[in-house]
Amino acid sequence: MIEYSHEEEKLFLLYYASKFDDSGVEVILNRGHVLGSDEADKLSKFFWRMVDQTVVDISQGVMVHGNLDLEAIVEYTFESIRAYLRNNGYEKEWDANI
Amino acid sequence: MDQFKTMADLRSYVKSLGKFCARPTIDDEHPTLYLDHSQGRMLHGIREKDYLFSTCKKWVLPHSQKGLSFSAHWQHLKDKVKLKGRFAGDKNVNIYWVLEEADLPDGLKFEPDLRDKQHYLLTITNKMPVHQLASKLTWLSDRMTKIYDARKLL
Repeated sequence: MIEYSHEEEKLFLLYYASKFDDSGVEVILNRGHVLGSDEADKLSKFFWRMVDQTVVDISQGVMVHGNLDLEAIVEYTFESIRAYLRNNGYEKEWDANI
Repeated sequence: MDQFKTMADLRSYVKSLGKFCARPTIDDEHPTLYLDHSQGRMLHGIREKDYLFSTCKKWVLPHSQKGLSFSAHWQHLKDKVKLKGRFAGDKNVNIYWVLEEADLPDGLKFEPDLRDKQHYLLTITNKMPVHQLASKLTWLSDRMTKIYDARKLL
């Protein structure tokens, strides 16, 4: 299971999955784990796409679920997603998308 | 301050340090405090979400999994530099590091993130006023070594 250190992380990730209209990632996040390499790759790609989107959103003052500190929350989600993928044998999928 | 020409130089150097704790930091940012308000609610330059605070917000409370984030492994550091690079724009990403076993101010302790042994948290071991933690973090930052513009090496 993906372990979050802050409760707002999952909502934050789901916000961007919805923004990208990425139902596959929404399913993964709601399930809490990936089912294989393809989903690990999908989650990893989504994470870095989200990072790039938050850079844009920060410049435009976008608030996500009442939070303006998007960079801070991205850092927390980085630790959660990275640890989950690497601990579960998806190091290659994580590294391939950085 | 240390400068390197290639990633191999930097990697060799980092691996020669033994157990280290490092923080990639964008130019103009403080190594251990957040001095602007773009990082959410801050108390004396400490990000509220990084530590556990008392209800009155005057005290910081001990928690083994709450603290300032540090990379404790080359691979984690490399990934974190890349992450910080996305937010840095044209600015440099520098690395500040300290040895894990370095003398820390009383009440501070590096603890591994239970989810990832490559990631450490600078925790506190006893309740202290917020301004005291800020002073200790400033003290530590003065003793950290800076590697300039790490992003170009990756």
